[in-house]
Amino acid sequence: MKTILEVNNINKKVGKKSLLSNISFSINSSDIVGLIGPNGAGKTTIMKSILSLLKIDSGEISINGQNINYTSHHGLHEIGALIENPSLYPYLTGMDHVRMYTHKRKNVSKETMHIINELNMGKFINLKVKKYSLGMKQKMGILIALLNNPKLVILDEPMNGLDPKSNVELRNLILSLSKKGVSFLISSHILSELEIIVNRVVIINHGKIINKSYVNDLLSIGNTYLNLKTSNNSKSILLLNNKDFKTTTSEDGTFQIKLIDKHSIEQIFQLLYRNNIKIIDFYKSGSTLESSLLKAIYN
Amino acid sequence: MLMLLKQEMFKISKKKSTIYIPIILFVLMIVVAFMSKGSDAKFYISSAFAGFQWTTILIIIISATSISEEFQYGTIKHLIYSVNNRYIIYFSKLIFVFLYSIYLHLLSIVYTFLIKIFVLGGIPKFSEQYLYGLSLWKNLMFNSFTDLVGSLIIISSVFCIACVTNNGSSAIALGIVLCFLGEGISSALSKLYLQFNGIKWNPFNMLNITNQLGNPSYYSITHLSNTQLLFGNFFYTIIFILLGSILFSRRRI
Repeated sequence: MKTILEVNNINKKVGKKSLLSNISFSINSSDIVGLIGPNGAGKTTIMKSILSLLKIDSGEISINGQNINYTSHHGLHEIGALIENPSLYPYLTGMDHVRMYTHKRKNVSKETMHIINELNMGKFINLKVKKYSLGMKQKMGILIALLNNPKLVILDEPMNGLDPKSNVELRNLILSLSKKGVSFLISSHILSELEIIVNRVVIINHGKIINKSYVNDLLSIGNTYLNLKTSNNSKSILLLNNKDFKTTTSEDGTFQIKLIDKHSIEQIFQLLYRNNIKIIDFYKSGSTLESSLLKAIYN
Repeated sequence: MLMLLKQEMFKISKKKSTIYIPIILFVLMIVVAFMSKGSDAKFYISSAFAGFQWTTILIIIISATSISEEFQYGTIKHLIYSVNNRYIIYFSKLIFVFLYSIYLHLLSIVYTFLIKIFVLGGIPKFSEQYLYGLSLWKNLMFNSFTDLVGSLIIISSVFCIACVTNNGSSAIALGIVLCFLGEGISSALSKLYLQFNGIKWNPFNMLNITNQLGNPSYYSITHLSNTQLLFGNFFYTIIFILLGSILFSRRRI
């Protein structure tokens, strides 16, 4: 698997305040990496550093093995980005922006038209940007980031201002491009959406990385529960408590058992079966990216 | 850099001002032509019916907005990561605005010929002798060239101002004030030139180059020869270009 982006020990201070401290991570081809953290954690600062919009104090950043820095960044040609707000000229139409940035004055490429169609921009792409709504501008910013077949796309809060349908369109587009080898670095506060698309996360707080992992590993940080409805709930709870399982009752006639490890479900079912207790209904609940993130940050 | 120049041309071709500017310039020159009837026609023809002064104001506006709009719209971010370094962006804009200045000066010359024929008629003739033993049309070309050279110091200084101000309007206002007030400041300082020789080399004095070439008596204000003024213009242009490029490259995004 080819490494597209390598960030090694980057540090950035403003006065006495440390904005970034020993930030290191990498992105391989086809990776969709979520950059997650509370407000002011340093997500946009990291993205700006990668794009040479900000001068770092120390450390190295390389794109496709080519070192980049504040004054010389040839490797950034293969990157597309949407940082903070979409950057658009109000007197140009959306299509003018496409023609200008792809250097095609007449017909745009099939790939570009495909992205325009996938994001459902056909209705307004030929209008001047000053007439766009927030969501339209956001889509335009995403489109610009995806022009010229970038190998790595950096998206800072791409779902801002997008309605639910547009979120689905964007998600599907990102997933389809990832299958073709495009890598993504995405920051977002809408963790439920991020959870669906990212395969890896980098969690940052106070300018430091506190966790780097695959999404599945992160989800295991949180608690998982088995919710049960049995023929004798009170007896079931007594038996489980004697075996050191923690239980809580719910008003809907079920009770919840906190799972300890991957063998817990098997142990619970065998225990109830041996005591002739029938299982009427059951389902699993627990970790979301949000709950795991909060646990990772605040623990 | 070629890619950025093409982008600048594309952007300006989409602005409404691209259509309005030639029209406005023509109208202003015609007004001056009518006002000049009965007075020193040769002077007004050789100075393109004040077309060069109007061009200066237009160039200040173009220079200021060329830099400030990128920061105002946030488009500077895309520009920075699409090129190898920030200096390329700065110098491509500088070259573009200078090319636009050439365009406006050529337009002024064309308009002068048309306006002279249709407003003033056959007198005076373009082939008549005027200053420096040159014909009237050669004086016009010469003034156009020197004003073009003089525009370099204006473009580079306005670029500097635009790199430190927060919006285009401030840069335009400051640019116009410094340019047109600058000549007044230079006149006010002229009394000191004889006492303190070095002061005559101040950048405001360099703005008098076109005035002096059109009216040699300006030497009493500038205390510099035409060659010295030309040299001074080039010197300060280079200083402002270097300063502007540093300010641009270090400006916080």
